[in-house]
Order: sequence, then C-alpha cells, then structure tokens
Amino acid sequence: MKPLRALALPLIVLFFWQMATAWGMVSPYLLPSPGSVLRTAGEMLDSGILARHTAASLKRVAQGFSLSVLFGCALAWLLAALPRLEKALDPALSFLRMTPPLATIPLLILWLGIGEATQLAIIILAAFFPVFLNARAGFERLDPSFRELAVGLNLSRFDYARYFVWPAAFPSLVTGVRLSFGYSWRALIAAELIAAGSGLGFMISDAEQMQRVDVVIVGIFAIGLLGWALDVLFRKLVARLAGRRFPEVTEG
Amino acid sequence: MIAFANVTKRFGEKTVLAGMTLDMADRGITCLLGASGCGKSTALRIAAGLASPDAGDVCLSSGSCGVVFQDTRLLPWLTTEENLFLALPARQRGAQAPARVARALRDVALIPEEVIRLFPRELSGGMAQRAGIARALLRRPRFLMMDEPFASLDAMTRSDLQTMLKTLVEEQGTACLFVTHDMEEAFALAERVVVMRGGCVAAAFERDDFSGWENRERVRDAILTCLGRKKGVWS
Repeated sequence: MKPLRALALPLIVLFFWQMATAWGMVSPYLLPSPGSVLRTAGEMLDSGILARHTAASLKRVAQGFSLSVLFGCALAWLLAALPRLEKALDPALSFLRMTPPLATIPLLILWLGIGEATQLAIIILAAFFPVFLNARAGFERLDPSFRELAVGLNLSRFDYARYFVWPAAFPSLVTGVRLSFGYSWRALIAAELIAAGSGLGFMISDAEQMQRVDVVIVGIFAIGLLGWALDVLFRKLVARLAGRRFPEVTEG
Repeated sequence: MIAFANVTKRFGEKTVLAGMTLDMADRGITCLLGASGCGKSTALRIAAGLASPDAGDVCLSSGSCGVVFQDTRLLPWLTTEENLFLALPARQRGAQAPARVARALRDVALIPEEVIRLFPRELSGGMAQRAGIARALLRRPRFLMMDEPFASLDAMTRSDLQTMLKTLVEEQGTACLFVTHDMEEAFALAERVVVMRGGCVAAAFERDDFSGWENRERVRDAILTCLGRKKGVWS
C-alpha cells in the first residue's frame, strides 16, 4: 500500500507529461517526451558522462559538507563552553545567517577566483548554519538533573562531555547534519552553475547553452534522486548504528 | 558523620533552609520526613555535596557518598552496565569492572545477565530503581543519600525495595539519609525519624520511640501535630 501511495503522484505527473508530448500540446523542443529523456539518460550512462559529472559533484559536496560539519560542531562546542564568546559573536552570526550565500558569489569570485575554492566557499556558507544551529541547540539539551548526577558521580570534564553532553546533543546533531547535507547539495549545484568545468550543475548549464532540454531534465533527476538516496542511506546508517541507543533518531 | 549547624539556604527570595541543625549517625537509616517544600530535598543535596549552603556549617566526615534520585537518573543512551561503569573512577573501568558491576547488581537482587544489556527504558520502574541503588553503592560509599527513591513505585514493589534497602544498609555498614514524605515508610525503614517543617528540624524520634503499636500511635499524632495538621488527615 505504502509504495503505491508514494508512486501515485509521480505516475500522475508522468501520465500528463506523456500525454502532453504525445498529443503535440507542447513543442518537443521545450519539453521532450519521457521516452526521449530516458533514452538520453541511457546514452549518458553508457558514455560515462553522467558518472563523471556525478563523481565531480559528489567529491565537491563531500569536501564542503564535511568541512561545514566540522566547523559547525567545533564552533557550537566552543560557544557552549564559553558563554561570553557566544554573546560577543551572536550578532555577527545572526547577520551571516541571514545573508544568502548566493549574494556573496560576486565577492567570492573576485577574491577566490573562478574555481574549486569559490565553490567550496559557497557550499560551506550554505551548509554551515544548519549544522551549527542544531549543534548549538543540542549542546543545551542536556537535562539539568543529569548535570547534578555528573557532580554526584564525580565525573571528569572529559567523561561529562563524552557520556552526557554529546549523547544528549546527538539527535540534534543528526538533524543538523541531514539538513546541512541537503543545503550543501543544493548549493553545490548553484556553485557549479556559475563557476565550474565539471559536475552536475555544470552539465545542466552547459546543456542549457546547447539547448538540450532532455539533458537538463536528466541532470535535474540525477540531482534529486541522488540527494534523496544519500539522505535515505544516511538515515538507515544512523538507525542501524545508533537506533537502540537513540530510538528518537529513527523516527521520521 | 554528617553534621549540619545552623544551615541556611535561599533560592532567590525563598528561604528553603532556615538554620537547620542536624547530626546524623554513621550507621543505619535516618529518615528526613516532611511535607513537600519543607526543605528536606535541599538538605539532602547539601549533605551530598550537590549544593552548597548560604550560611552555617556542614561537616562531612571523609568518605564518599552515593546518591539515589526519585527519577533514577539512568542515562537513557547507555545500557544498565554502562550506566554503572560511570560510577567507577575512570581508571577502575578496566577488566575488573564488569565483575564489580555484576556483584553490585546481584546485591540489589537483579540478575546481571538479564539486565546489563538492557537500556533504562526497557527496565520496569522497580528494576530501574534497583539499578540506581546499585550504581550509588558501587563505590562502597560511607553514606547513601536517597531522595524519595520509592515515591513513584507501586505499593508492592516499594515494600520489596524497602526490605532490600534495610538489609543492604545493614550488610554494607553504610549510613543512609532517606528523604520521604511518607510517614509509614519512615517508620518501616528508619532508626531515626527527623521531622522537618519550614526549613528547620521540628522534631526527631528514635526507633525505640515508635516501636510497638501504642508508641507508634503516639508518635504519629505527635508528628501530625508538629506539622500543624489535624489528627488523621495526613496526606
């Protein structure tokens, strides 16, 4: 029943898509038929073009995303430990949080050039805040009564962090990491549309210039499906590794 | 021993302990009895070193103390065994630790093989509280501090645990400070019942004072009177 429900909407869309193209309601130049998109996808898979661009994108996102998670957790941890620093940095961070990464692209291009550094910077700007904000909320999630327990047990600061604070933050961290992955994945495409010679985003913008709508659609599907698959994979992995300790992370 | 001399504690405007004076023996169970808000839990926290007094002297003779909370406070993301490991100092968590934990669990009538791998949410209320007591006793503390540990358990489990606690305290030779609002629980457990009201000790009774039916009736009335209640409406 459940997979059927999940398939209902895509099937309806596919149906109308097919009808619209089969009856000639839209020009194939603007919207190629599902069949021809599928053929294009097949060709691109065979020739290895799709794999090459996907690999380039994945590599970029892996770098930007892991740096974001690292910085985000580290800064949140630092601010949790130093409340005064938190007060001092809060306005600046709020300002940055509200600045769309896309708005900084001209500056980034001027400063970092058109290349990997700019793309990485865009990804980090987009992916940093979800993980940072969730981590910061997470580090405040520990029940005060557990703090009292830690005093009673005479725990070292290290043990307190390891067994109390980090596990209490874990569900928040997972949420932050998932959000951050989504943001970095989407920002990556934006970054590649502007400044790249490879990657799925580049592939799409290149196809636009060549007026290959079918390739654009293949690119969009590749991005969406891959992002979705990676998110599912991450959730399954977390549920498998930590599901018994943290039943709440397996929900949703 | 634990001695309080004129201990005062305030939370903001509210004075929770108002010059409390108390000597606690090195053996047996002392019950702090009182209505909610009388300062008994705060007194226990100060005795356990979890809070510090605003004024007055607290004298704790050397020796560690273990604390048992009403809400057990087992970490939900650790198994029972891991929860107990935490009570051991870091360098004692080596090869000997599992055997020590198993012994502590057996002391509170839990079967180690059955519970060590379970998470707190998988334990019944009584089992979780037993594990909490095992954790507190793991370091063989001189003092066991218990803050209404059985208040949220059903009557049968509570009576089982009371019996177990009396035996444990006797066997291990620890002194126990037991906070409760239940007079009958205090009578069942205590060598000494200390009645608190308004942040002070209002009265104290030794076991001899309340053993035997008639004596107990008299003490019961005395406690009710000193808590400012009419006879028979204790709640």
